[in-house]
Amino acid sequence: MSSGLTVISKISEEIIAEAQAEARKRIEEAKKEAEEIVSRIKVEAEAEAEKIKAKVMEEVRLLEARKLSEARRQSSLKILEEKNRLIEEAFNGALNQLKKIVETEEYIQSLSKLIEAIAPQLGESNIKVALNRRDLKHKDNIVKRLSLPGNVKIVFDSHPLNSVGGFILSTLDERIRINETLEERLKAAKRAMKKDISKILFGE
Amino acid sequence: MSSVEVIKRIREAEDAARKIIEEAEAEANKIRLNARREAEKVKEEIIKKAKVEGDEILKKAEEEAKRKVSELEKETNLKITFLREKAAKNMDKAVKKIVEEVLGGKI
Repeated sequence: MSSGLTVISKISEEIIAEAQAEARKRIEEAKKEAEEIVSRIKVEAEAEAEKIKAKVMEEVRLLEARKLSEARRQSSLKILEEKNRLIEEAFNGALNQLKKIVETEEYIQSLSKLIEAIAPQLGESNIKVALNRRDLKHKDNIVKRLSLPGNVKIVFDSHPLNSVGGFILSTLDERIRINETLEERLKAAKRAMKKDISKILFGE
Repeated sequence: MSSVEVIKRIREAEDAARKIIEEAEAEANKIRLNARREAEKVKEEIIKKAKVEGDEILKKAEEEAKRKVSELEKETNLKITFLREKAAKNMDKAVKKIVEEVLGGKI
């Protein structure tokens, strides 16, 4: 009887001991699994954090590139605008200077020389010259200074030009016209001399 | 001991063993769950930290870009001042050159 009881107790103890061992094993496994979970999620989080940082660094690179490139573009534009403004100032200065010069005797001399130089371009023997009201008053003085081939005859247009100075040469029928008013010559100079004037003004 | 008594004792032991296993399983589940919770919390913190750091980097970069832009603007203004000074010195020469061109030579 007592021996039977001992056997049963031993069996019971073994069952409990096995269960306890299994319980320990399961808890150990759970702990190990927990460590793995923490470690895996941490790795995932760090990878995500790296992605966030990489995205930020790309944003930084783009931001710097965009802002600086825009600033450089604005700077070049501002300098270019200022250069153009100063070049324009030189041409305006020239126009003001011309308005003074047209009152001088030297201008009449220069006007005659220009007519003399440009008239042959018409290839006609009868040439009409249009001047402004002020210069028309000096037409005799101008003719006197002209040295044109003998077959070339000059006729002055009685309608005065609305111009600071200079002239328009044309054939009598006005089929061919050469506009050499000071405004037109200034426009042509602006087109042709911008680079030269820039060099003079800025030394470039 | 009767055989009924034997079976009863063994069943009792088996019940106790089952209870031990069930409790252990519950504990194991709790450990896993806590680990997940803890890990998610850590993940959130890591990501939050990265975002905060990213925002700071971006803010600093914006400030730095702003500083560089402002520096560039200052340089541009200096260049413009220099251009104006140079142009003022040479303006008469430029005007003279244009007038000569328009009038077809020196007068």
